[in-house]
Amino acid sequence: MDELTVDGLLQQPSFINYCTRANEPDVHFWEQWLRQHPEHTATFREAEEMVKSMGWLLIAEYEKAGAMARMDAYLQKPAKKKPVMKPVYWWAAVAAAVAGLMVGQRYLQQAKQHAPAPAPLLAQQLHYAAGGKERSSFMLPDSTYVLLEKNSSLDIDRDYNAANRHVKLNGTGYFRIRGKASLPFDVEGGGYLVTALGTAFKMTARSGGVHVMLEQGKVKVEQGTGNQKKLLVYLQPMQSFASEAADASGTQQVFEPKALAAWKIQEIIFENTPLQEVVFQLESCYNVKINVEGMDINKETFSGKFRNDSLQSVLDVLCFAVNKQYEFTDETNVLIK
Amino acid sequence: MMQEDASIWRSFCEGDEGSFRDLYSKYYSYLFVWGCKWLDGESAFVKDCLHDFFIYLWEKKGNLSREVHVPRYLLTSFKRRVIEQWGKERRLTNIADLIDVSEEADREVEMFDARYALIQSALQSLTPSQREVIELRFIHHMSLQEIATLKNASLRTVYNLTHRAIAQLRATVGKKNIFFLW
Repeated sequence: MDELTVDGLLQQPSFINYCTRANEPDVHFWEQWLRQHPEHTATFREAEEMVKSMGWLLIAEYEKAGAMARMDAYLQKPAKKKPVMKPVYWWAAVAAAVAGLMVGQRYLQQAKQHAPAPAPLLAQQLHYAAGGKERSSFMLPDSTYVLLEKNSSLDIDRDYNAANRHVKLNGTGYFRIRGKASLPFDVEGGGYLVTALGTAFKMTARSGGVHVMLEQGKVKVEQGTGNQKKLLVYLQPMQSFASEAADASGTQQVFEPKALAAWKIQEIIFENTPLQEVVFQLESCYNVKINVEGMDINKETFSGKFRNDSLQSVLDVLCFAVNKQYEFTDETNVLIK
Repeated sequence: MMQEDASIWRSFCEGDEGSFRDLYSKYYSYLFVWGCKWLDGESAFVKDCLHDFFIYLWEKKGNLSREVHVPRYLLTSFKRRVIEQWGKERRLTNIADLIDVSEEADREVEMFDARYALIQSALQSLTPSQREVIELRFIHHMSLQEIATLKNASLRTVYNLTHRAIAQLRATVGKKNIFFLW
């Protein structure tokens, strides 16, 4: 090692072992090496500090979701405070760059204790937004799953899930609808209205333009809102519809299932998310059915960040975190036990 | 960025809970690493201290100066707090020497800022599986053999994964071409 650099040291697994005290012979080796090369002490210490800092940063990221929950619990203590707009904070904290994996029963319990009751929530208009850095995903009060693309926002009406299931979209979102079949689910955006019937679809709405990709079920696309609606099209699964301007009639096409699948798994983020929700999100994103046996999925939470990862690698991390094994019972069915 | 900080800080001082939360979220890991540096990895203590420090800020928000350089202010005051609390806990008498407010301390703060960005970007470029292995080693202090058993993978896979992860960290850090000075 003629020219010793911090980089050079970090490259050596045995040096990392020395720093983390993971392997006795390596610790011994590097201690001895340093005694023989006192001239490199400064660089050596620098690299050692670098490894330590990375470890501390990992610990910080691992602890952060819990710390945020603890702070929220503190902030919510005085009951007189104005109601929190964020319905349940574990949806809302997505902007934070928390990654890693974590299962925290106690965090969920805290969350449950301090989450506002659903009834007063519905009296407000709710706003969900994904910033420029990360996507955001969450469940609406009727358990409909929404994956919001970066720089997109969604507003839900005051009477959502009581009198209607009407949402307003600006940007791109994927919706997988659940809950009451009696209340139609509709998305307004860019001057168009998309009404869904038991469905999963992706929609982009920017002023004057709309793009809809239907994965399952059936949707109706209309131009205009309120009383002046004009029916444009009914879509069947794997059909898409695009209209660029208010006066254009739009184009209907057939798309490959792969196109939508690839978009969905570009980025999936869980932050202190209840396991039940994690399972539903993964089912939505990977088009599989996941069964969990031998644990209460309402009691555990999970945090993790995935980018273009295969279902297998997501399941590896998830199952490691919850100390379970998974198996594919067939192509589209996964059993976690 | 600086302007954004300044406006978040001002609205926090005026009592906006959302801004306070944003501030905590934004600076959590940054201050955590900084605290660990001063207490050489007493992470459980740093964690509690950081929570108390932000509660202190929230309670004193009305009295805080509106015009501060946010990261510098947070680093300096958190350093003071973490060392003082540690001194109390351990009944240390010579802690005053550690709380240094000289120009040297200012330089330290600046260096930390540069270094932190570097560590962060290096960590972020890891894939989830590479990251997982590093986490097992750093957070759970597992040996490669233990990780292999746990993940039901061969030792070679884990070796490769660890090596790739570290090589990638190194490559990212190398590209920035910055020296670490502490």
